[in-house]
Amino acid sequence: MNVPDSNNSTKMPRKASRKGALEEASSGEIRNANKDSRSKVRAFLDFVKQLPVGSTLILGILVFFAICAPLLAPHDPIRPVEGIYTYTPAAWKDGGSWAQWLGTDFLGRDVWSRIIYGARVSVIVGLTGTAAAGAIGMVMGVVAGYFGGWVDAFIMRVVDAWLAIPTLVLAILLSMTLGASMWNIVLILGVVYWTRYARILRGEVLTLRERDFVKLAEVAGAGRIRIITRHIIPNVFNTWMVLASLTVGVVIVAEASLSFLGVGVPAPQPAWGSMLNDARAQLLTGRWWLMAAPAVAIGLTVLGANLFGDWLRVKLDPQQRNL
Amino acid sequence: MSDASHEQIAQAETLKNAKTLVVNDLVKHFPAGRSGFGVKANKQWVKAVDGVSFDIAPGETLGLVGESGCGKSTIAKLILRLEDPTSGSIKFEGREITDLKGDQLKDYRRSVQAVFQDPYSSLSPRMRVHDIVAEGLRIHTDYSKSDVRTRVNDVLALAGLSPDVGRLYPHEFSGGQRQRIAIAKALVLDTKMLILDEAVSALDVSIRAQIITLLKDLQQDLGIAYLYIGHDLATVGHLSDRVMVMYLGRVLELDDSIELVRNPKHPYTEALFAAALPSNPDHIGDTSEQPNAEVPTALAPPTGCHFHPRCQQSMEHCSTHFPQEVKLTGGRRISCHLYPGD
Repeated sequence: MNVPDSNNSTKMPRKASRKGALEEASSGEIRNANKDSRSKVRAFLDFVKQLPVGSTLILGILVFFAICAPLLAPHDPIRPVEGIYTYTPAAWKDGGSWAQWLGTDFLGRDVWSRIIYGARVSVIVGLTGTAAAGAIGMVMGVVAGYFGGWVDAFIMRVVDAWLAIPTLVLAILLSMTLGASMWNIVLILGVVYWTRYARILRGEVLTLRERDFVKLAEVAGAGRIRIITRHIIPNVFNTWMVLASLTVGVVIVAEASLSFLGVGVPAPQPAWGSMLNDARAQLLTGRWWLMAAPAVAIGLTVLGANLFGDWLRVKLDPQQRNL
Repeated sequence: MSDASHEQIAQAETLKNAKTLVVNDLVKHFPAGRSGFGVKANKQWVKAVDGVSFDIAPGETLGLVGESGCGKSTIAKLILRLEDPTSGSIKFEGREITDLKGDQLKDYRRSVQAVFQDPYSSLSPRMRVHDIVAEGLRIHTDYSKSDVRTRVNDVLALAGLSPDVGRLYPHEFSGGQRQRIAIAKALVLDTKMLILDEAVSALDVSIRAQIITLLKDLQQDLGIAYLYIGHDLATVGHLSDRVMVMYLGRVLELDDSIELVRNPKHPYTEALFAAALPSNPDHIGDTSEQPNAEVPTALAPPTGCHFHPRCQQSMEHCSTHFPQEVKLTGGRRISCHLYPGD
């Protein structure tokens, strides 16, 4: 439903080519190195072709902005543009130019440059915050599922308690206690969002633990650490990836919310959430574009992340459509 | 002859007579029923294995048959130390293994391996075949990369696979090939006993024959003891030197497989043979010996002889007394009131 058409149209040939490779391999033919590398290139092209166009484009541009911000931004994002103190986009003025096409904020800083730099915060916090939550959730879920017993009961009760606390309230509380900085926000978001991973991964591990290959690993003399790292984690990794891709959007919104409330990324570092807050006063005086710019940026990013997550979910495991 | 050589001969004799595995009065009870928040109200026990004794000699195959739920797989798990027994002893090469821990347990795991029924569940889908087979070496030895490769290729060859398969993933193989990989994995260390828990039950008939032949050849070459668990009498009888028949956690009959197949004495064994389909449909025999009811639950087994409600020849005291096991002439062990012993 949310998956772009491009996915459907490229599905058939991709499947066919993969099946071909399989038959080739199972016939026991030894492929030489040259053929091997060529098929790797082909596999990569196949992979690129089946990516969903819309979400990949949005996320690609976002990451491009984040990496190349100093090259792309026309102005310094934290200093007022020299000689200009205006809210109106320059292009709208008589004889105006495209120099500050989204206008300048209440301190005279170029909004477009701040949007570009703001992508950095969203990308970094979005990815590392998700990874932090994923890391905590993975450890908790795998430990609970694998060891079972009172360890499992304890961790799952903690998860239940955690889910009873409103996430944003907990995040605000932690942020005010720890002090606002970008890396603190990453940590906080990790601590707030680990429960969703822990629950689902625990369930996966419970079924994996009963699979014969895990028992055979034990029979072979593998210790707990080896079983967890070699047999359990690789087999829950797909699920972890899907969960992560669906969490990115949530984490980005959470970061923007914290920044909007003034307990997120501290000023003057440009973040979309704090730009929204800065523009709030201007909205009353009718300067809506100052608020529209970061709002559209956040909306598009989350849309892109969620579409990508949906696509990944269906691709990695069609049975988890209701995750 | 000198004393020394006498001693050597005596030693060799005891080694020859030494059993690989000796199981004595093994019991495993599983708790059943509800137990929540420490309140263990009317706790019930499933007597999965209830006083089982047998032994396996080096290079011998002991077949273990019985209907599902009779405790066959529990015995496998107990020997593999995946479960701990409630009581009884398991001696492997003279050493008690039920209380092994840590390094001693790890050492035991070098010599006893298993092949399970479902070849789709027994290989990790995220590991290459080479890594699956090599795992035992990586756990127990400090072989170099090339030594590991050589050994893995050797056992793959033993199992009838080419070394090329090492870099493939399990999903690229058929069920029979997967079972060959599982066998290679089980042989990679100095395996002395192999537990084959329904190892061919999930395979096509033609592939089943191949795997059985492979197992027989391997046993001849390597002298490994097999515990072969199955419900298919034809396969078990074909592969085993001796066959043990189990019912609801107890051994009913045990003898050389040829003897047992030719002349089943226990009514349950007879019924099992009568229920098996002959190779020619015209030869379907007398079906009157089929057991007349479903298998009772192990949670509440029938009193007396567990088999008496289904037994065609049950007598009055069958429902009150469990028959003592007797040894008939020729060495057959049997638990049935029809054979009261001497």
